[in-house]
Amino acid sequence: MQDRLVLKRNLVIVASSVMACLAPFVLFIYQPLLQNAFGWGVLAGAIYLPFGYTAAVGLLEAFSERMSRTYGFAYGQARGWGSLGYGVAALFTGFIFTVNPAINFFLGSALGVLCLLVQIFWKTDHVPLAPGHTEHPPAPTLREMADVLKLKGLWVVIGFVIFSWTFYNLYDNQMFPNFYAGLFENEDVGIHTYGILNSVQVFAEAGCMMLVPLIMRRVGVRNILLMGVSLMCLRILGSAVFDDPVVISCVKMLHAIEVPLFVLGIFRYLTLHFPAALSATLYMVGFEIAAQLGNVFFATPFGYIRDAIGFQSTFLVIAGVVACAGLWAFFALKKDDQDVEGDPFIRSGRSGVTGVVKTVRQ
Amino acid sequence: MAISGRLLKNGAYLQSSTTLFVFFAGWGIWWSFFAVWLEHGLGLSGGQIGTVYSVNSFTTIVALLF
Repeated sequence: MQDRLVLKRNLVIVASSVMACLAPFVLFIYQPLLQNAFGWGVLAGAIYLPFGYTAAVGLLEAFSERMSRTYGFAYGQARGWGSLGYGVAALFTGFIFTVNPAINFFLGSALGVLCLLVQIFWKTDHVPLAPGHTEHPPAPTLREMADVLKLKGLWVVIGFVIFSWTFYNLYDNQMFPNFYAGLFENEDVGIHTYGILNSVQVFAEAGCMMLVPLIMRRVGVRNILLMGVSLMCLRILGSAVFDDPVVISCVKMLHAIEVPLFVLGIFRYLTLHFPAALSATLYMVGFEIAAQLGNVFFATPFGYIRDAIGFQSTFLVIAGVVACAGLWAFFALKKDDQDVEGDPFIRSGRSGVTGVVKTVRQ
Repeated sequence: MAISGRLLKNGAYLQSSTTLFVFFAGWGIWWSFFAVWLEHGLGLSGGQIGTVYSVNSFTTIVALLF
């Protein structure tokens, strides 16, 4: 147990070191390569970023979750501070960005150094272990991940995640910020506003994380997912047809309720219709990997589609894809009382939702 | 977030919360404008930005699997 914690801690130190090197990497390697030797730039970033951020985030969350069991605190209450950190940073990001993006990268480095110092000098060895803490099941192995692919029902989840969640995030991360900044006559104002909006949305999302389990008890798991996909479609459609910044900003706030609906819905769907012992593996394969895999295939073509037909027409296409995914899900997703192989769902009962708090996903 | 006094005396909770706070702040301070930086800062096209995201997702899966 302790050995594994030590190993994980070393990996967290690696991730913090990578973060600390952000500014030199971006300014001296990534930017020049992207501008002069595009392919090499893409490759350099794709090797660098997972170790500091995109894959490291899962590691940090898992490490914190494990510490919560070892030392006896609620993981959600620690993860909440992560969302708070993201929200606070997002508030300033836009203003700094319009002065000089290099400052954003230097601040990223400084926070990486701080994270590294916390790992090295802030030991938790003296903290008493929680009474009766148990050995936590190890992370899913490749073999286990391959095995769950034999479950037919999981393919429905994978398809649904790719054609709704991946497409939505492709729209939200890759396209929406540039589209939004372009709505303002003065682009700097657009960037400032986007930063503030993003920050407000992160806080609203945290609030909705608390709210969604309550709604789920009333309407059920399947309906939560159908609500989530409807809101996705509505938001994308909204930015395809309106071009008033105020309307678009209001529509963007749908994101704050949509993310908890979808993330908590998928997690509960997996623990309801599949054996509970497999939940970590299923979540990894059916949600995290499926979402990234969809992005591998669709991010590039949709980038070219946007170049060819513009933002709003592309949004219409994406909204169409998500609408089809939602319609298909209506027929393909199991009802809450059908094929219950995990923890049964009791509507409006005491049955709680195992909460996972995730606000940052690309 | 309901934070009780007992929780604030738990050194592991404080360490873990600080780590997550700093990590996500260090990510959010630039990541929310990554696409804007690629387009307006570097002048990349939509197709090129898409390529960056595609390849990043691919290597993230590889890192997640191992």
